[in-house]
Amino acid sequence: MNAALALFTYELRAKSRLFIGCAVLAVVPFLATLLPSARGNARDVVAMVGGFLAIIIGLTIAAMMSRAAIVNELVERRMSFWFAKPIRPAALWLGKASAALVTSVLCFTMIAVPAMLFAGPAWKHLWTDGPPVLAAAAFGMVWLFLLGHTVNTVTRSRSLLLALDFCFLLIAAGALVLIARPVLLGGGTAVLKRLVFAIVGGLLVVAAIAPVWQLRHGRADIRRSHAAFSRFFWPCIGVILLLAGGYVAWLVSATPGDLREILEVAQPPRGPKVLVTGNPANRGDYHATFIIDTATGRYDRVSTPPWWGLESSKDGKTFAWLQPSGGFRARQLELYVNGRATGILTSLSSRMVLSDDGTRLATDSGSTVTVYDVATGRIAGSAAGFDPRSQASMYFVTSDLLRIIETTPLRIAELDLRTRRLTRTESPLPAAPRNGLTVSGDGTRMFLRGKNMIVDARSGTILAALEPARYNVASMLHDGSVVAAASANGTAHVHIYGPGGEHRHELTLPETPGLWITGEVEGGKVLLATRRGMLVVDVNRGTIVRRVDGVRGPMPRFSADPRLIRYAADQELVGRTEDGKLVVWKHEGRAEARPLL
Amino acid sequence: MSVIAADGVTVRYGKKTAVDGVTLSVAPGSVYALLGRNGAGKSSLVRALLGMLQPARGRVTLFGEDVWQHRARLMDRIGVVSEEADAPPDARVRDLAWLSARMYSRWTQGAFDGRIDRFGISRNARYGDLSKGQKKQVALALALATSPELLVLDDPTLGLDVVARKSLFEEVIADMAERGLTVLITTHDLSAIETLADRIGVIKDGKLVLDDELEALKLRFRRVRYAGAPAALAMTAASSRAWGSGTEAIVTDYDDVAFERFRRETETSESTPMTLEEIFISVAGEEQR
Repeated sequence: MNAALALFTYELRAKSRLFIGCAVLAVVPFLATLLPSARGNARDVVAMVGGFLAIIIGLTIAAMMSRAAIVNELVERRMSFWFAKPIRPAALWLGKASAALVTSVLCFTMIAVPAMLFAGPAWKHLWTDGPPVLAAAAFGMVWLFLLGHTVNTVTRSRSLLLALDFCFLLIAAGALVLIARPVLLGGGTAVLKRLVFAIVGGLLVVAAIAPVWQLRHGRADIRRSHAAFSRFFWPCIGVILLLAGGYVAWLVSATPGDLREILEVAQPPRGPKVLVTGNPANRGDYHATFIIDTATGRYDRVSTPPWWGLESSKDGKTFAWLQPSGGFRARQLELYVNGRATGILTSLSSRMVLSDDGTRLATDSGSTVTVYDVATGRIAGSAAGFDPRSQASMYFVTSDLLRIIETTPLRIAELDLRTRRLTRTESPLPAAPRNGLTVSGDGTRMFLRGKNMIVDARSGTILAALEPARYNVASMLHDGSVVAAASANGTAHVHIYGPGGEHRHELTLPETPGLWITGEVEGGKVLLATRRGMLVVDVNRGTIVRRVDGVRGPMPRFSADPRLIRYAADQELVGRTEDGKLVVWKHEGRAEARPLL
Repeated sequence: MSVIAADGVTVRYGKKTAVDGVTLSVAPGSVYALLGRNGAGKSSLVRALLGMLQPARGRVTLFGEDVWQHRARLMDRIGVVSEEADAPPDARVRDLAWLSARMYSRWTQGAFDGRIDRFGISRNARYGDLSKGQKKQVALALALATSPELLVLDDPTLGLDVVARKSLFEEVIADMAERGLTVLITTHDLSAIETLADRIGVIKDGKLVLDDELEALKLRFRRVRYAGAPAALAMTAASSRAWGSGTEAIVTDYDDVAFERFRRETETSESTPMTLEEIFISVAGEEQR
């Protein structure tokens, strides 16, 4: 320890010329106030110039020291001077590294302190009130010094080992991507941030200890020194990456039973499969996603939780969604089908719809609509020239015909994938509301909430107008009839209209908050969600046929497809209890909801 | 107990073998001169002996302790003058002394000051600004001021003029006389070492091809000239060549009795003693036929 302290003192004494240089540089911020543009705000100028100059000088000196502290002496064959002395490798590194870092900090301080004392509040405002720039600069000095030493050691030895180091670097970088990708795809940004801090911290510790090993085993010879450094450095990096990899493996190994908060449930109209996304316990903000079979409880883990535009096919066999491409490039999205990347890339603003049979998929990238063949990933057709501000909905009438509805002005476009032709039909209506546009199951009629009109979905011609009323929620059902609800005086009135616009029934519900029309069930039943629970309404008779309290769901998804989801008559429905548990219930009978997980 | 003991030391740089299975020992109070041509492996061996280089095979002990394991502690008893001027070039002479004073337990400032004054070197001078000879003198002053039990001089006279060489050896000789210092020296200055060394080691292509007391070497090695074919000589010849109508041979196991017998058998023959330089050339020089 005495030797380290002696070396530390000696190294600082040897830097006297550097300190004199920094003392001279400390005048520069004050000289900057003589510039004509600096008149009247001398304190701001001194604070800004002094701070930046101090940071730049501090970082530069740290980088220079990383080269000079050990590696220069190894390269210039002067390390034997130190190894001929009674000093241990750890003391040698400690003395030299601490002197280098203290020199950087002292040089920084010599420039910063006079400026800080002069500028006072201006300094505080610029450097200490906002982000921790000075702390980052201090961390940067340590980081630059240790990283610089590492890079200089491996590059300046002119050893063939450099090629091996490069290979290890590539492997480590690849491992980092493999570690980070599932976390990022799972939306675990806070987890990833902690992981990155841990890896960087581990790297710093390894970079701080490796030179001791380097000097202990490589001593005065640069190539042996390099070899010793690499022998310590890479296994340690390997251990850190293994630990990080182990943590990520544990993170992604969450089961549906670990979910403490359900974030998204997507239930297709048919089949037992349901896609569930949620936060597993003790895993930070990482999202886990599963496709669960409601009949058997079996599940498939999906490594890429839906980030955008989740859709399912009518047969319940296909789920599709979008993710940031590669997990990193947020300007592009990659399409996943049932958890597997299709290789289809589309731009960030994309919405998408699936054909009923799940074989075709259309994405909307603002002004362009593109249809892909799901099996091959090839483009089946595309059309451009849409106004992103007025484009409201699109849906597959058949797997070969895509209908796109623009609202301002109301215009219906049809893209025929067999002929690859686009036809546009202007509606007599000048415009339609962008939200609240729903379409019948066969796609021939649409209901415009707000205007309360039933319109031909192919030509835009008005077929019927409902009685004037202000409906909070409304939806056209599969057969073209309309369910609409309006709230007044603490109660909700649900109106049922026939396909021709004739008023059929009216129900009064005591509970109004959170009223949603969430879907329909084959056989003329519609699902309503309230804060209290789910209601099943027989639209033919205008009566509530089932009430399930304490459960909400299935809930509607925000889709570009304007057709209300229509569940099979025998479909078990998935909802959430008030405490966030998933349950399965039936639209008929009196059986209680049963837990899904 | 030997001050230095090397046992089968092999040093490799990649596939190249710089030192090949060297075994030697240096007795306390003796001067061991390690000789060899440039690139023979002297400096690699010295680095291995000082624990700066880990041998691929073999072991080195200094004062009975493994030098690789206990280098830092052992260096408190050892003064080193390296082949290269390896002190930091920006350091002032007085700073180097200041540092050494804090690292060595037996530092004698007076001894350092005395030598620096004798050499006429300013304490404020930066090491990098000194001449080659002055750098060696500073290195020697630093090494001797630590009151070492072993002094290792790796080619200390390389590039020095005659006066500087003489003063350097005088300092070493004076210290030896005063304290019974053990010295390991590598040098090309064979005439100077001839007056100083007790034992000579010659390294060639990494192998220690000769390791003996200097006096014994001088007795063993003789130049023998005789009339007759090379095979006529019954002693081991390091080399032989035609000399006029006869042969000149360098004999490595010269024996007076055997030579007298040989002289009686041949018409003309003579033997002459050899200098260390001649012995070195005969051992380390190119093979002659």
